[in-house]
Amino acid sequence: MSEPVYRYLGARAALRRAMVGGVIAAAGLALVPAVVSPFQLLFATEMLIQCLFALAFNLLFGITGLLSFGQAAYFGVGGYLAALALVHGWTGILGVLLLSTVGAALAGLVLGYCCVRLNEIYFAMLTLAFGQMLYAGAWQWAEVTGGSDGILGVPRPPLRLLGLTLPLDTGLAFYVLVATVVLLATLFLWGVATSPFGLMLRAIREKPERAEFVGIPVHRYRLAAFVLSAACTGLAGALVVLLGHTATPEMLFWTKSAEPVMMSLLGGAKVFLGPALGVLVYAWLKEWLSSRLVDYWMLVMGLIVVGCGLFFRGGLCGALVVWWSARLAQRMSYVSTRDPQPDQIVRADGSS
Amino acid sequence: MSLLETRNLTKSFGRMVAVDHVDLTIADGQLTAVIGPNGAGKTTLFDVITGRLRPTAGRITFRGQDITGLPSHAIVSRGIARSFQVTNVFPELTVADNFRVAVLSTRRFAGRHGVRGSAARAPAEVARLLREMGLQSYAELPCAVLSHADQRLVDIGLALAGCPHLLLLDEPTAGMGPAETVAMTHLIRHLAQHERLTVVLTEHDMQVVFALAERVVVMHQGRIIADGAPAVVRDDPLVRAAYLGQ
Repeated sequence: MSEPVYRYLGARAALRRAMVGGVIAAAGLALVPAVVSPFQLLFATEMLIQCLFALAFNLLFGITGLLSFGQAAYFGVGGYLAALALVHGWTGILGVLLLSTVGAALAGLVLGYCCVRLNEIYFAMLTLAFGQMLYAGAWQWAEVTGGSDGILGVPRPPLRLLGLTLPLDTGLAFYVLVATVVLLATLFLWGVATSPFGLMLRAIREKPERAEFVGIPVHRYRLAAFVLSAACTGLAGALVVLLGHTATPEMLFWTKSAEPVMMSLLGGAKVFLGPALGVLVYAWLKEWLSSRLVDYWMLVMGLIVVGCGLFFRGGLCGALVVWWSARLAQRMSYVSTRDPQPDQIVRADGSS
Repeated sequence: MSLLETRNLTKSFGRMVAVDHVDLTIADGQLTAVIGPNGAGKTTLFDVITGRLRPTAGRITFRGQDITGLPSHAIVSRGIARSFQVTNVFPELTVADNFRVAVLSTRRFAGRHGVRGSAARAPAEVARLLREMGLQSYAELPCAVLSHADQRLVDIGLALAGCPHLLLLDEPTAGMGPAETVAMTHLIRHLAQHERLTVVLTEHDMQVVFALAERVVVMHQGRIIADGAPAVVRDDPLVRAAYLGQ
């Protein structure tokens, strides 16, 4: 068994881990600007936003067991909403982030309502279709979305908080904003994943039908997960627009939807922070491969992801968890007391 | 008092009628066995009662309320639980988490406790189920590594979590060895007598049926062909014909 086993933590342990993890992460994030160059800081900002995108996607994929192949839809909705609000004179940056989050959540509610009834491949195909519909919409509705050019020159207003005005035009200031928002959103997703609600989502992932028969309204729970995932994805989209000052139709294209899929597979979908590790591995692989194989790097990347999917199901984090898991030894020693005949005893390794 | 009543209940797949105008009344507290040859419609009957399949015609009443056509989770939350012929648990969750899922979800919707109350009661409920099923020492193991018989117990524990009024067991001893079958028979009798649960089970093992059932219902080709005390049903010529061929 190469899959990490999830164990429900309970509210207190989850809160304790969130606080410890949050403090460590905050300290780590605060160190980054001190040790990297301004250009690398820009790269780090982008990575952080990708992490939020991948973690939001994984609430559906790794935790609820729904492979969304149209996550770019909510990324794009969040991004375009932020761009439109800012070019039309909104100046409150927190208001813009909230608008993108709520807007993407509403889009998730409407589209998700149609998708959550379906299973597996049908779910993936329908989410992909909705994603491509929005992509086509962004192209065609040029008066509003700018068509193929997208929306250029999106301003990045200063942050007004508690009577203070903090300009965000330096890379460092914007990094601090992104790090704070991403950390808070990640803690929120952690809270969802470790709550009783998150436990229900995992049960739905394992056996949707059995979940229905212990009294879980499966469609409603899936829709709730869909909306939360869309909301956090929209937030990531808004941050990307603020980072690059542009919203383009590529944000909605299906290749954008494929990114979090690959990142989750590389990093490990069943471990909460797996996709975040996947973001780093993906970025590193892309850098390393594209500098050596200018034209073929996508091919090799694809082969690596396929290899992960076939032979390395838990991804990197899954492998690490299993390695460290003392439970592995415990599992091996399981012998049912209700099996009197030795030939019926099945151990974890399949031997008898 | 009758707990469950089906009137004229019918389920057909195209021209094949799997459940054919079944009128069945289950009294409160009675342990009933539904038997019949393979393909008689026993599992389909369970599926229709629990909302897994929509009936083609007929009505189902549970505790005086019409539950025909409700989604499964709504039927479960009204107090009908079931186990499955093929063991059906959440394999990657630990045994305790399996029970936790069932406790939290059914309590929440049963309306007997508020959401807060249910969450506070959950640990005690999970402990009770682990004790009742004798699974305490495996509580933190993932279900997937348990033996077949132990997974079966988890399956039944999931069904019991919501403190149901009616428990439907679909071939609880299928695939079990002789010793495990005896243990399962004891467990079902315990549930019926001490937990005051109304149990309806399907079973192929006639020893289990006659050891447990107060009433035996025989199905054949979707219809009920005999219904009564075990000793009476055993000697019924129609039943003998159905089982042994004409």
